[in-house]
Amino acid sequence: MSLRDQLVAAIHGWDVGLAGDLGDDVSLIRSGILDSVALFNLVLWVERQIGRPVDPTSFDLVNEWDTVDGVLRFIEQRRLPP
Amino acid sequence: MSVDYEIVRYEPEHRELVVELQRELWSSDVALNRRFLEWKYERNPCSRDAPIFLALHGGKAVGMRGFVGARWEAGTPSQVFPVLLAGDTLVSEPHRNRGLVTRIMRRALADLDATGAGHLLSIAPSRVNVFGLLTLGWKSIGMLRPVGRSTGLAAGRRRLRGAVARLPFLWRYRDARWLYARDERRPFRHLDAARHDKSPIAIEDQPRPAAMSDLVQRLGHDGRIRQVRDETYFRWRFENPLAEFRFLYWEEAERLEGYLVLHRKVSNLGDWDRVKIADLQASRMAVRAALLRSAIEQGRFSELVTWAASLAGSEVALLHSHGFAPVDAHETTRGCPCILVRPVQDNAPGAEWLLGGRRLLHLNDWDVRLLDSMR
Repeated sequence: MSLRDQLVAAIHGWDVGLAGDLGDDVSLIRSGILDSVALFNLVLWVERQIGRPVDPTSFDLVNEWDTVDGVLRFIEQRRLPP
Repeated sequence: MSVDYEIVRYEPEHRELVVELQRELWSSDVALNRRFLEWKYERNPCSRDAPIFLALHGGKAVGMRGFVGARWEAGTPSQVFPVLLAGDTLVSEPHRNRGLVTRIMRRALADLDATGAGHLLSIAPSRVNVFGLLTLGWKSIGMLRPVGRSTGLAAGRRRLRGAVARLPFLWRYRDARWLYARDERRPFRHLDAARHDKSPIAIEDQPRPAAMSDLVQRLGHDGRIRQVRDETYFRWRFENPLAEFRFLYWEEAERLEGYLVLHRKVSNLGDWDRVKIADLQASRMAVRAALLRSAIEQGRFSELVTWAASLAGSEVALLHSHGFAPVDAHETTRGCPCILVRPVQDNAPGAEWLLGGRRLLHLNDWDVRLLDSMR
């Protein structure tokens, strides 16, 4: 399963009331799909992917994580080398 | 699933709904929650109209965010500004992930514009709340650098409780009192046994609001953004029914030259076993050192914690020399505890991120104490 598919499956698993597929450019935060608890779950998920803690105050959370694409880009940029 | 919620501003008729809801956050004791609500919102010296916002569903309160008025000062000469402190955010578990935090906050912002407060502060919000606030235009001033000292036994018991919390079936006992030593269950017992009023240090359980305020006034204000610590504030602040305080005073010629405030939470929820240095003021470093040493030696606390972010280098060095070291790495590596701030009005211009000419988003422009939070 690709990382994108894992992320979408995780978001669906957080009971955020999504109907149907989640496109790469669908707004997650500005649209209100993800509230604070779901965002907390998302951070934990991202931390597992990059292997270190994430400080949400150190970057522009709304702009950088507003889409599935954005979250995946964040992971790609910060993932520790194997 | 579509569920209807009504977002309303608190009225006295909602009191019992709030104290019931807050059994998940304040304490499981409804009577204690009622006293806390009355103290914090109804007897607050800066705002008695209790700006609390609720999500109602099925005749119950299922979500809440409260704001209390406060007076902060900044600049040279000092100017006083009314602000609102956000807190007590809670959405009951079956109603999470439905955007209630955002809906409550949006309703609040629309109402709070009329209060005259220019800025909203959230001091040391929980990690979950940080996410919700960041998405609504709040910004962090920085991490408050918690430091502490603990005995090896206390650290061991904390690890044990953490291990229990991860075990199947047994996790529900993670907060059981038998997992805490006597010193953790009654953290002030050594200090109370040593209580005295021998000069120059007196150990008491009652505040001296007038003398403490007078000392703060004599020490002056360096212009950084800080809570107005006057007699009215101190008198109200130390009546918090969810908190237990102890006070160490240093007097010379019947005048207060220093005080140290110790705090712990009176609740069965949260870090109730932890003693915190909520405030420490002194006219000179020798008095500060003596108060700190006395608190440590007489209190023999399993764990003693404070915030170091606003302290001068010499004050941080004093803490380090008494065994304080960074704590709570699981939070600090994630930017918490922190202060979040935003102007009340949306899309505020850059000038709104200043208070008395001081920069709201620069930690160095703040003088913040653990006492400023309701933690």
